Order: sequence, then structure tokens, then C-alpha cells
Amino acid sequence: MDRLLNLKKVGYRYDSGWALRDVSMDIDAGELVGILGPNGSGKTTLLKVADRILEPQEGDVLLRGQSIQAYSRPALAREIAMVPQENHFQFAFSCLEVVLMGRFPHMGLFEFEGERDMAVALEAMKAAHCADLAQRPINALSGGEKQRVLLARALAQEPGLVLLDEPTSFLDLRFKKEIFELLSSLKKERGVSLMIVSHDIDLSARYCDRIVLLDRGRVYAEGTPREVLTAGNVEAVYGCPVTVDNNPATGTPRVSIL
Amino acid sequence: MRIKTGFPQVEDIGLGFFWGNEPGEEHMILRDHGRKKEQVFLALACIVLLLAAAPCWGKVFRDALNRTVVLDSPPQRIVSLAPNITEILYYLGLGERVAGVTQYSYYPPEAMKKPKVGSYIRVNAEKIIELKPDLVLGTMDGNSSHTIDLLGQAGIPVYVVNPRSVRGTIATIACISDLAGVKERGDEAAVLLTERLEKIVRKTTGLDRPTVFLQINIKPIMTVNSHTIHNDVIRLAGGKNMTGNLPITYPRISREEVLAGKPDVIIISSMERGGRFERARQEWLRWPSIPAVKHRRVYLVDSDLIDRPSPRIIRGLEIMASFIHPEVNWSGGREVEKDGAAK
Amino acid sequence: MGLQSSEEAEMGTLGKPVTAAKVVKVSVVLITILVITVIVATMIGTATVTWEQLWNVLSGHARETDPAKLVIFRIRLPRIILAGLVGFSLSLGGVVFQALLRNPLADPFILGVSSGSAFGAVIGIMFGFSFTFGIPALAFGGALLTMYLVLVVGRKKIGMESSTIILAGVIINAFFTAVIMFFIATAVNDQLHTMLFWLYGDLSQSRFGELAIAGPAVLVGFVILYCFGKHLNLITAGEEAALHLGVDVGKAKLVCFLVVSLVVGLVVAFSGLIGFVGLVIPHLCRMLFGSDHRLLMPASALGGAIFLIAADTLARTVISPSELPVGVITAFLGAPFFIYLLRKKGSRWTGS
Repeated sequence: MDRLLNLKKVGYRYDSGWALRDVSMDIDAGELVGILGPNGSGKTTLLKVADRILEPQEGDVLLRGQSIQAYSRPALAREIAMVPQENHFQFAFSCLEVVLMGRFPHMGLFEFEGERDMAVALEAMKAAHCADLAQRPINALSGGEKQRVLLARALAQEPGLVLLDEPTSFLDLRFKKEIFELLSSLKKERGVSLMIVSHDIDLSARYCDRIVLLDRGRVYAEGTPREVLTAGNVEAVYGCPVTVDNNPATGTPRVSIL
Repeated sequence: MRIKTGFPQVEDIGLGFFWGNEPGEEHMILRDHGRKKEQVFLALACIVLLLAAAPCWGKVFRDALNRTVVLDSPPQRIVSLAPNITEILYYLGLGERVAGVTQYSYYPPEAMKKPKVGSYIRVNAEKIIELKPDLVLGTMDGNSSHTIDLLGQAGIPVYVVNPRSVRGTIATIACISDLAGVKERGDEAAVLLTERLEKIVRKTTGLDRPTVFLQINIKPIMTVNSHTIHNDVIRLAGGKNMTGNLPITYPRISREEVLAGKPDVIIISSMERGGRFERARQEWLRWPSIPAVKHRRVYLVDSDLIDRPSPRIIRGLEIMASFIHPEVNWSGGREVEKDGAAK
Repeated sequence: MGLQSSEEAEMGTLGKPVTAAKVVKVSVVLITILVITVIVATMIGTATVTWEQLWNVLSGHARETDPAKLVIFRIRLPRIILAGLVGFSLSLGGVVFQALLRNPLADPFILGVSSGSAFGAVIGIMFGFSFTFGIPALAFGGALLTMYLVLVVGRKKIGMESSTIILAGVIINAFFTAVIMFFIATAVNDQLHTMLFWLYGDLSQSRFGELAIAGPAVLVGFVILYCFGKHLNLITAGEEAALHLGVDVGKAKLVCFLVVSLVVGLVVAFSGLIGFVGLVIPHLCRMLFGSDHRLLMPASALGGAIFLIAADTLARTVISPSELPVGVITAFLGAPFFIYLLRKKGSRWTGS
């Protein structure tokens, strides 16, 4: 199996202290990986390091076996895409224009969007279930709709890996599940890897192939949801007593607070 | 036989406060002083002179910017780029030849009817070109050099003057009269104005110089330093400008500073009598610690008479001298008007 | 289908992404309007210039000293061309600053380029430097100095955090404004007048020499900035988002800030401070043409040129033969329009 992304003993420090310490993890092609942990455990920092927004003071990040430093920004954007938690557009763009922004790393300096770009964008919007929003202005959308458009934008980059920062935080229950369903099917149909930072333990347990549990910047546990989400682990990291059993419908681990 | 050229002598002009002349006095028109024989002689002399002079009038002049200005014949359409120049032109009897003036040329009143060419700071070159003048008179400070170049390129002669003092003003009057081909008038005027000036200087030589505070603005209180023509007037009138040494040309000054300066005379320059400036004078009267107030020597003067290099500045000088040295017997000219003299 | 939200109305002809053909089409139309504006402006003024005279002059039949020729070539055309260049630059500057700072209220002067430039010019006026070279050079130097100060003071980690830069700009603006006030308080009368005219915009001292410098510089600046059209689009979506999308944000911001400040600093050096153009025209163009900078930049720049030529023509004819400072006209036209915009968009001001 291809090693898509490797983090080797990565450490990152803000002025106020270490946000990540000695973090090693891998992502393979076609994997859906969930990053869990309480606030301040370094989840968002991990995403930023993965996409070279932040450069770690310790350790290495390898993309397809090469140091991530060796990639130019556009080259990096062709491999890795990010769906942020929220996005604020100061100026009015249509959804289609927003998705077309994802084509930037594939375009030349003075190039305007061509047929292929349009095709990829529309296809991405279909895959993200937002094709009907194409002509709507981005700022007129609900949270869920916007999320799907941003996902389409990420897909338009034709990346091997998509990073998502708490994609379900602001969504209603119904949409939370929808998003995870969508991500899962993307993984299966397109072979795209996904790294999701989430607070949603249950849905992560249900859809993720693997879970990385962070505690104060370090990897506390790593493996399948069943392996990682034990009462002991969850209590130790989240600091509150829980009980773990199986979701009767799906058979995946279910965490309940005591 | 003295050839009187007929244009107004200062003694003929009344001492009205506002315009420096008595109502009804038509000082702009050439006046014939009467004796018929002399008239005829004058006419003949003029014809001879004209015939003699006509072919060789063409002259080359150098202006204040050291530019060469060539005039083939006496200019008949003159544009003035500053109010004081307008005054000088009318003073020399050249009113009819004035083709354009700047916006605030209020004196003499006839000038207000002339076409306007913009303001002294922002001259409208297009308008001037349209007027087709054969001479443009400008000043060194204020008029833009770019515009002057532009007019030069249009083939319009531009002559720049730079009178910075009272004597400089008199010289400028003579110079302009030369440019306009009326040199004799200018020279006569210069003689008469200088006479009046020298009289004042003579009468005040050797006298102590009272400290004079000249207020040119009410709110805020502003005055002048030594780089101004106002200062020159004060000096020639036998006074000492209290704020001469300040570095800023038109500095703001506080009342305390004036108190500290202990001026012997306070003169407030205004464009009108009464009203705000009268109240300003009343304000000073509340500070008897100032010598000027104690001795009731707070006066008002028409600002036009002391702030611009025009013929009226001599009038202004006379008035200031009467304020600054009231002890001098100024008659032999006239009795000093008690205008503005707060007794 | 039927009801268009005001957001959609604001998108204008959007929905369809910008193509090269569209950019060319819009540019051609605007250039045509620009040419017409120039011709009309050449014919309006204190001196009368008839069609015949204009034709005579343009076809080379007029005598050397023909007054119409002089008026047109030495007085009006240089002034009109300068107005066009300045309007072009200020509008372009407005678009770029609004994108870089992700702030619709940004204008080319927000970072203190104006007051730095004014500071340089005021020093030049105080010490009697020439209007052709001395003062513009000093004004330009002032703009560079301010830009340098702002970048040094406002610099942060990720290559310029926008809010810090704005703050730095405001502070430096305030400082230079105070210095300028000091000079004004101590100025001699005529220096003062000149300064005030410069502080409100003065296009009347235009010479071909200046245009020969400013023209090419502005055009080169435009080309460089146009290269970053796509980058600017993405930067408006957020700096981090732009990074994720493959934009080298640090480099883009640096180049754009530098070029736009140089261009604006240069024209301000020749024309004084003229406000509202860089604020109002970009907004208007966004409403008409959308937010894609590949179309917005040429549209705003050309729109700015047309606007300022019109405003300047008004400025020199409305109280003829006297003149109003052009900054007064742009303020009178710009402010009400801006208020209208604010009321129309209301809370949608920030596009949320």
C-alpha cells in the first residue's frame, strides 16, 4: 500500500508552549482517518502541519516519500486539500466560482478556466451534492450548503488527501451524518484519503477506518475505532467518566457519558 | 514752466478712511490744470516727442526673476495677476488698458467690472489666452511659475515684479510705468510718494521707537514678523515691531505673550470699521497692565493700507506714523484724522 | 427562479465565471467610453474650443501659435491625461488593497501612503523645491518611507497579518498628519495656499515630462498586478484558505503591496491627495462586474480614469474662471454614493 502521508516524530511549538510533541502517524491511500481529542490537544495544529501551513520545529513530514518542504505551494495543493471549519467570504462569488478556485494549482499564470476545469468542478459539485447551488452566491447559503461547496472546492483540486477541520461542528444532526456518509462514499468511489478532525466521537467511530487519539499534543492511542475507543482511553484523555458499548444498529463503539 | 502731467496728486485726495480719497474725487481721469497756453505747448511737445519716439520705442526689460521681456510697443491690453498690481495700474491712469484682473481686485471699484482671470493663487491660463493681452504682470510669490511659462509659450509677454518693502513698492510703480510707456508719470509719482515717505522718516528720526503690536487676525490672534511689508511700514513710521524676531511669518500669539511684551501701541488691522474689530479693541481695553491700553493707544487701521505693495501704502504709512508718533506735528500735509484713534 | 436576492443582484452578471473574452469585451467598451470622455473634456473649459478648431489642431493644420492649439495641447490634454492616469491608479489601488486586506473599506490611502506622500510634498513646498521634479520626488520618497515603516511595524509571522498592518497604517497616518499640521501652522501665506491645494488634489500643474514618467510606470504596475488576479481572488477567501489552495500568499502580498504602493505614491506625488476614487469606483465595479479580479481590475482602473477626468472637468468649469480642488468634487460625488451603498447593503456589508 502507498504511504501517502508520513509524520515522523513531529513537534510544533507556539510561543506559549508545545502544541505537538513526538507525533508519528501515517495515512495510506484510500483511508478515512479520524483525529480525536479534547480542545487544546493539538488537532488543528496537526492539520496545519500536514498541509505545511506550520513548519514543525522537530521531526519530518513526508508526502509520497518526499519531504513536504520539497513541494512548491501549487504542487502541494495538487496533492492535499483542506476543508476549513468555516469560511468567510468578504466579497460576493457564486458557488461555481468558489469551486473553480480549487483549480488554481492546475492553472498557468494567465490562464482562464478551460473546459477540463469546468468539467472537474461540476463533477466535484455533483459528488459533494451541491450541483444545484452553482449559480447561488456563496454568502446566501446555509452552513450545511456552504460546507458542501467547500468540500467540492477541495475535490476540484483533485487531491490524494483531503483534510477536514471539524466539518460537522455547526451542522444539524441530520447533516452531520450526511457529511460523514458523503466522505465515506468519496473514499470508496474515488480512492481519496481523508483526515478528519472531529468532536463527534460516535460518527467518527462509525465511519473512520482508523482513529488517532491526541492528548496534550501527544498521540495517546492509535488504531481501529474499537482498539482506541475504550473507556479507559476516553476517560484518561477527556477527563470524564464514560462507559463504552456497541451501537445496537451498527455495531460500532458508542461512548456514553456517566 | 512746470509741466503738470495731470494725474492726481496726493494732496488733492481727501483723507477718507476707506478708500483714501474723498467721495466724488475722480482721481483716475487725466485732469487739465488749466492754463491754455501751457496746454497748447504741451500738445505740440507731445506730438514732437511722439514722432521722435515712435520708431524707437521697442524695449527690452529684465524682471524680478531675471527673465528678459521684450515689448515692441507700449502694451494696450494688460492683465494683472494680483490686486496690488491692479491698483498700481489704475493709479498710473492706465485703467482703460486693463484687460483682466484677478478675483479679489476690489480697488478701485472700477476694477471689479473687468474680466476675471481666476485668483491670485490659481490663475486661469485659458482665460488669459482668450483675452489676448500684450502684457501680463505677475508677482513672484503666489503666481505659479508653471503658468508663467505656459503664457510665455503662448507668446504673451509676462513681467514678474517682487516688491517686498515700501520703497520697493515705489520702485515697482516706476518700473510698471516704464513698461507701459508712461515713464514720466511713474517717475513723478515716485518722486511725490518718496517725498511723503522721507517726510515721515525725517520727522521720526531720533525719536524713541515705541513697541508696536500689530494684530492682523482676531481669532486666533495673529501678527507679523520682520519678513513682511507690514513690518516695513511700522519701521518707517518710527516704531518697533514687537514680534519682529519671531521665526514664523504670520505667527499665532497668545494674549499672555502680548501682555508680556508690553507694547506701547496696539494696532488692529481690519477690512471694515466697527463690528468684530471694534469688539476686539474693546477686548484689549480690559487689560490695563499693557502700556498701550493704559495710555489708550489702541487703534484700528484699514488692512488694505498696510498689507499690500500698492500706492495706498504711503497713506497707510502716514496713518501708522500718526498713531505711533502722535506727538509729532504732522501738518504741512494735513491734520491727522482721528479715525480709529481711541481717545 | 423568479426572486433574486439582493446578494444575487449584487453578483451582477456573475454566476458565469469570467472568461478572457468577457474581459476583452468589457475593456473595449470602457476604453471607448474613456476616449469619448477625453474628447469631450478637451472641448470643455474656460476658453471656447469648437469642433472646427479641434479638428484643425488634431489634423495638424493649425498654426504654431494658434490659441486653440495651445489651450488643447499645453493646458487641457496634459491635465486630462494626468487625471486619467491618477484615476486609473487610485482605482486599481483601491481594488488591490481591498483584496489584500479583505476589507471593503480599504482605499489606497489606508496604509498611510497618502500622508507620507503629503509629508514629502509639504517639505518640498516649505523649502521651495521645484514643482516639476523636487516635490514629486519627495512625495514619492515619503510614500516609500511610509510603506517601509508600515511593513516593519506591522509585520508578523505568517507574512503580514492584515489587521496589524491596518493598525500600523492608521498610526503612521496619524503621525504624519500631525507633522503636516505643524507645517501648515507655521507656513507663510502663499506656501499655505499651495499646500492646501495639494492636499485636496491639484491636476493643473501637469506637464508632459511628468506624464512620460508616470504613464509607463502605471502601465507596468498594472501588468504586474494583473498577473496576480487569480491570487487575489483566492486571498479574498481567506489567507489560510489561499495557502491551502496553492497560493504563495506571502510572496503575492509582498509584491502586490509594493507595486500598488509605488504606483499610488507616484501619482499622488504629481497630483496631491484625491479621495473617494479608490473607494467608490471598485465598489461600483464589483456591483456591475462581480468580484473576479481578472475582470475587476481593468474595469475599475478604466472606470477610475473616466470618473476622475469627468470630476476634474467639473472642477475647472463649475466656478470658472476660478477652480475647485478636484478632491472636493470627488468627495461630493463619492460620499452620497457611499452612503447609498451602505444603506442598500446594510448588514450585508461584509458579505456575510
